[in-house]
This record gives sequence, structure tokens and C-alpha cells, in this order.
Amino acid sequence: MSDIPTSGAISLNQMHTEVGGSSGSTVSINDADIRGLIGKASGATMSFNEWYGASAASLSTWASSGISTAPDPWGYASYTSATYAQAGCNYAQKVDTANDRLEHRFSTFNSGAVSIFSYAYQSYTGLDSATFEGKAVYSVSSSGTVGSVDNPASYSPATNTWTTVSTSTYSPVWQWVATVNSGSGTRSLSGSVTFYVRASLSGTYYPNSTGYNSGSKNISLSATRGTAGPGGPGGPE
Amino acid sequence: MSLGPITNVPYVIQQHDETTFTIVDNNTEEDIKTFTTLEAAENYMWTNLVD
Repeated sequence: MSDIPTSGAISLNQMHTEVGGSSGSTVSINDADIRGLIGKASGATMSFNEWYGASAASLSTWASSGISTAPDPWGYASYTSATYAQAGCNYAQKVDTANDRLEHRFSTFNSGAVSIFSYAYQSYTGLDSATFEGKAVYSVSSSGTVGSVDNPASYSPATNTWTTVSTSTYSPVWQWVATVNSGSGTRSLSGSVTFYVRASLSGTYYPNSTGYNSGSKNISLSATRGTAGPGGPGGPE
Repeated sequence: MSLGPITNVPYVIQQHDETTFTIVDNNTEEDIKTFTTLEAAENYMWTNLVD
């Protein structure tokens, strides 16, 4: 609950303690953290009633509810088909301002089963007008000569690139896919990725400019077309 | 953008927590039915929804 009342008398000291300052210490109405409570730029016109009930902006730790291990289990898929083989995984973010949370959505899939999308949520306070940014740092390599890969898909941001998270659709999306739809053999993707998120409001980053991250997640995808398995051991001479 | 595999199944399953699995129409995004296990959701889908 905010230190700042929702009506009646309001003091600069209440604003200061709400942002973590010590009661009675020096504070200015134009301090960045005080302005940050109501999303105002330096030197902007402000009136005290704009601070009624304002809460210090905060972002909870990575994927604190739902499937809180997000994205995990994830990234491991192997599929074999005589005609069409595909294995892949994706991860996406969206800001849900109606529920004050960042949504994480992730899936690992193959062409022989229905897709299962898992969700996790990361709540925030006072960041509805913030710009959320997502980033993935990845290194994934392809092996095999048949078929094709999305490594990652063309719409996925490049590695180590902060991208604005949408408030209306799941964007950005990172997706890796191995597909073999002609010929015979295996196409694979293998590597690791770490996903990040941060929010920016009035020049301040939450939790900081580095952001929260998922920890390193492995990717191991394999699609095989054809019915021939690996060679067996040699017989007696 | 294409998400997920190319299949003829017009449904996906959404998992919102450890015991909530909802079958969703992939075109209309309408919730079809919710189950407490993935197996139950898959069984219902293959038995009642997919020809």
C-alpha cells in the first residue's frame, strides 16, 4: 500500500518515503524518483493532487506466477515422419496493462501433435505507461543438409537487441524451427538462449538497465524425414 | 506470422498454471473447454473435436 493517501492532506515527505527515502530528509518535487511516481518529465507542470495514491513503480521478478519456470520445460523436440517432419520452439512477451503484468508465452512443438502454449506472468506496479523491452541473447547452430531451419524466424529480433514489447499482441516472438519436407535425413538445431525483460519510465529502468532474465535455456530440435534409422552394429564375419 | 507446426488441427491447448489446460480454437481464439490435466485435454480434443 502506498504511503501517499488517496485524498486529503498530502506531503512531499510521504512521496519521499514511498520511493524509499528516509522520513524527514531533504527532497525536491523535481527529483527524478518523485516525478517518476506520476510519470512526469523534469520541469513539467505538476500539482500535488496528481500524487494521490501514487505507488512507487516496481517490477516483480521473472515469471513470478503461472508456469513460473518460463520457458521451461522448453526447447527439446525430436520428430520423425515418412513425409513431413518439423520440430520447433517459440517464446514471446506481451504487456497486459489491464491486469498490470507482463505475459510470457512459450511452446515446444512438432508436426505430429497439437500445439501447447504455456503462460507465466510477471506483475508490476505503476508501470502502465512504461515502455517494456524484451531481449534474447542466443547462440544456436544448425546441422544437417536436408530440409530447412528458422534460426531464428525472420520476424525474431537479432541476438542481444532490446525490442519494445507490444501491449496488444505477443511481440516480440523468438522462434526456432527445423523442417524436412523432401529428401531423406535429419536437420537439427542446437544451442542456448537467455531471455530478458526490463521497463523504462521517465528515464529510469526497472529493475535496472540489465533487466530480469530467464537464466540460460537449451535448445535441441531435430526433424527427420524417412523411415530408415541409424545403422545397426556389424554382424559376425 | 506462422507459430507452431503446420498441422490440420485447428486447436491449441493453453496451459495457464500447473492444473489448468484450456482447448482454444486457433482461428477465433475462443475457449472451448478447460481440464486439469494435459492428457484429459488431449483426449477430449481428439475424441470430440477433431474428425
